[in-house]
Parts: sequence; C-alpha cells; structure tokens
Amino acid sequence: MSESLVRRIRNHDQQAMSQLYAMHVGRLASVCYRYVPGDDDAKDVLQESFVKIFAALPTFEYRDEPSFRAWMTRIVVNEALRFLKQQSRLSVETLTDESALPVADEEPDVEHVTPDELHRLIGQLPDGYRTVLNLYVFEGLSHRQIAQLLGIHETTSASQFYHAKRLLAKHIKELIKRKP
Amino acid sequence: MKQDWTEQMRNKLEGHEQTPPAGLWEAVSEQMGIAPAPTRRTVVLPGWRRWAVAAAVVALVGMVVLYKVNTVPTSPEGAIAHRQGWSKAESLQLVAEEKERRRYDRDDSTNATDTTSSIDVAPTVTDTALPIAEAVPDTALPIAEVGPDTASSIAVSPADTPSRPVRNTERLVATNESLPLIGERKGAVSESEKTARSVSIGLEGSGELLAVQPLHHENRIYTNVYGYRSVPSSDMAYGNSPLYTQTVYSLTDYVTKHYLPVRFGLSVQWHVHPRLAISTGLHYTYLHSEFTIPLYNQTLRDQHLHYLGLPLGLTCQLWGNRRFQVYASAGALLEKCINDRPWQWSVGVAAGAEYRFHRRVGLYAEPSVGYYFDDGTSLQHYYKQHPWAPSIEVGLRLHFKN
Repeated sequence: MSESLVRRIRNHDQQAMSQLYAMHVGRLASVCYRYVPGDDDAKDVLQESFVKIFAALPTFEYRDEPSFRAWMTRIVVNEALRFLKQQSRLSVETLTDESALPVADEEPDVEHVTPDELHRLIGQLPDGYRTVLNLYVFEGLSHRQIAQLLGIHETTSASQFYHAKRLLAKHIKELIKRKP
Repeated sequence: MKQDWTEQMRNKLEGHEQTPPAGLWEAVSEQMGIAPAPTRRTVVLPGWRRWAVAAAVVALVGMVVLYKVNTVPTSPEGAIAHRQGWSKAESLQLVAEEKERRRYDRDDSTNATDTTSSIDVAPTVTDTALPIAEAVPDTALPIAEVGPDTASSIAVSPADTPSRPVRNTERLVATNESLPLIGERKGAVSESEKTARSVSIGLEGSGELLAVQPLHHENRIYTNVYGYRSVPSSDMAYGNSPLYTQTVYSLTDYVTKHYLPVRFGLSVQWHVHPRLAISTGLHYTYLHSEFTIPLYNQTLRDQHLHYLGLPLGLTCQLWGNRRFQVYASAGALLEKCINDRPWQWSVGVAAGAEYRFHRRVGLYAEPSVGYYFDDGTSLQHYYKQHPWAPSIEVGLRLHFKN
C-alpha cells in the first residue's frame, strides 16, 4: 500500500501525500508524544518530520513496509531529540535531581495498565528520564549509543534509565491503586 | 517464561496510535506549498464548516444592516414613549408645563392676529437665518426665503416640513423644531401640528452605533429656535423673565443620549473537544445615558448603570494552523444591574480570529451581534434603544494546558 503511494508521490501526486499522511500520522503522533508530550511542541516536531519525510521520499528506496515504517519513525525520533536539545531540555544540568527519587527498586507492572495509560505515564516522566527510557526500550539502543547520541556520559544514561524505571513503576502502582 | 518489562512495554505500545495535534496537515501543506486536502485524520474545512462560516458572515452582515434600518428617525409616538423613563416628579412637572404651554399657545394664536406682533418676528428671523443656513442647510432654505418678507411670508406651513430632505445627524431638531415654531407665529398651527411638535425630538439620532451625536449640533439649532421666538409684550405677564418665555417652547424638547456601552470581562474556556470549547466568565458593563433640555444646555438627568454579567457560550474552531485560528461562537449573557432593579438577558453570535504571537498568548478580534431582550422596566438605556447591538471585542487570550 505504502509502496504505491511512495511511487505516486515521486510523480508529484499531492493526493498520495495526504493519503500517506493519513495512513501513518496516528502511529507517528504516538511516537512523537512519547518524546515530546506537549501539543504545541509535538505539532512542531511532527510538522518538521513530515516535511522531511516528503522531501526525502523521491530518493528513498522502498524495500518493505516494516523498514519504511522504521525509517519514518527514526525521522520523528531524530526530530524530537533535536527539538529537546534545542530547548536545552537534555543537558546534564537539567536532568532530574536523583536525590528526589523513590527508594523502592521495583519493575513497572506494565501488564495491568492499558496502552493509553502507559503512554500517558511515560509522557509524565521528566525529560531526561523519558528520553533515555524511550531510546533504550523502544529504539533498542544501548547506553553507549544513547550517551553518544545525547552527548552525555554512559553512566548518566544508565542512571537516568534506572531512575526512570523506578519512577514509572511508582506511577503505575499508584494508578492501579486508584482503579476500582 | 515471564516477559521482560521492557518487552512488555514494546508490545503494549506496538501499533499504538494517537490523535495528531489539530491543524498539523494544514501546517505541513502550507510549509510544503501544496494545497491542503481533506484527509481521514485532519479535516480541512469540510462542507458543513464552510457553510457555517458563510452563515456566520451573512448573519453578521445582515444583523448590522438590520440594526442600521432600526435607527431611522423616531415617530412622535416613539418620542412620547421615551418619557416613560423619567421619574414621576419629572413627568408631573412636564405634564403641568405642557398644560401651560398649550394654554399659552391658544393665547398666542389669538394674539397672532395682531399684526404688530407678527412684524416683530421678521427682523428676528432675518438675523438668525444666516447662522441656520450655515449650520443646517436643509432647513435654512425656506427660512432664508421668508426672512426679509412680511409676516405672511413667515407663515411656513408645518405640513411642508416632512417633505424637505433632512440630514440624518440633525433630523432630531432641524425639521421638527424650528419650522413649526415659525409657522406658529401666524396662528396657523393646527392641533395635529401642535401634537407633532410636542413630540418632535428624534431621540434615536443620538444613539448611532459608533458615534454619539455631537452636542454642538443641538446647541446651535436650539439657539436658532430661541431666536425665532418673539414674545408679545402682553405675554410677558405670563412670565416676565425672557428665560421663562424660552421655557414655554422647550418644555417638550429634551434629548436622550445613550453613550456606547463599555464592557470589560474575564473569560475562561474549557475545551471539551479539540474544536469545541465551553466558555464562561464575568463581565462588567457600564451604560451611561444623559437626558438634557438643550435650550438650557442643562442636563436634566445623568444615568449611570453598572451591570455584572455571567456569560455562557460554545465556541467552535472553524479553521486554524499553528499561528492563526478562525472560530465561531454563540452564547447567552445574564446581567444584573447592581445599582437598579433590572436583570438583562441577551443572546449573541460571534465570529472571531486569533493570532498567536506566542505559544501561550494570542491576540484576538471578535465581531459579534447580540440581541438584548426587554428588561421589563421603564428604564431607558442603550440596549433598549438598540436591542440588536453589533460590537467588536478585542483582547489577549492566554492558553493553558489541562
């Protein structure tokens, strides 16, 4: 499906662009909101992402649907990281004070929350925690890779992830407790 | 074997979708220089919204036109109706003075056969004709023609006056005041003409939408009216003061002026849907009216009404991108006059545009038309004169997240 749209877009078919957009915008919006929760910020990031996707499509070599989706997702993630760096929200100084963290070392009880709830709770994490958690869990990067990407120390990445996990576990626990 | 929690998270959010931010496709299209087309997820002004925008614009224009039509000169009956807003004491005083005026008019008619008194008028009219010609061209012509002639020439029939063209801004006094008074000097004024004169103040004229009628118009014209009158010596016994003789002719001449309402408010909007919001808040409205007897240049009554109001409305975003938004809204407003009895109900529709110069702050302009229901009292104020009231609201809007 996407392949034919990509072909039509190469032929400057504007309707194909809107169809491709409609087909993928929901999923890409979900990815974007995981990194940049605010409406206005997410809109900026998604706008830049789609412009880059459409601009790159004429030279993009389509192989299969999963790789095409992964390619679009990478563009959104890169734009989100660029946006967060621009806003100085990923500098070491702005990473959350670790002394204010919960003590208990628990794993998040992901099984008992819905996808929407989980998505929302990730969005509520501080910028540094959220970014490292996203890159580690969803993009499958190692702490070394994350450290290089964000320009931080590897141990900082590991520490941010550790604390992100504990804070997420705490929030999930509280959410489950509030459920009837 | 139990899944690792990270794997659970990946699986849980695999294929997860979320509603994109409003106006995203329009922004992308705009940046890429392509025409935005309706898509499954981002809707760019579908048919009903276009019709809604068109209907809002047509309604707004129509109501402004309707409002303008409603501001034609008032009938004499309308002028009489304005008296209902006066206090009881003022009304009684006016009735008594009106009786005296009628009695005086009868005496005057009798005396009008006196050639001397008629001739006395002529020089006065000649003296005042020129200022009138400058100030009120529409009414000056017949006066200038008759000025130098004898008393018979002065007898301009009041019945002619309605056929003369009248400038709207001066219609209150120009046609209905000066000309009948001149004719009256010859004793040719019929009973119906007297009635027409007694209610001849076109109160409507002081309530134009965006301008209050300048005071100097009224003063100048009324001064001329005074100049026309020459009271016979026999009448001086009725009131020896020249001022009193003026009173005779000004008893029914009062002007109501409703100044434009001033409103301040604080509104809160709550979005129940990306495109729909419920709004409420607190409004303060100030209505100022003046009731004057122009001949004395005296303010008879100065009325200040202060209202506190509670609005409730629904706003629908029709179109928008990151910076600019167009919306329509409808709502009702309940106001309580805090220094008088009435409760004031009104309903209105508005079309607005907002420009966001900051992510959280926007500058908006909102033309609207409201209909103000009769508050059931005899109180006279702007909204009773103009139940259809177009207005424009401008302000800053702050946007907060939930």
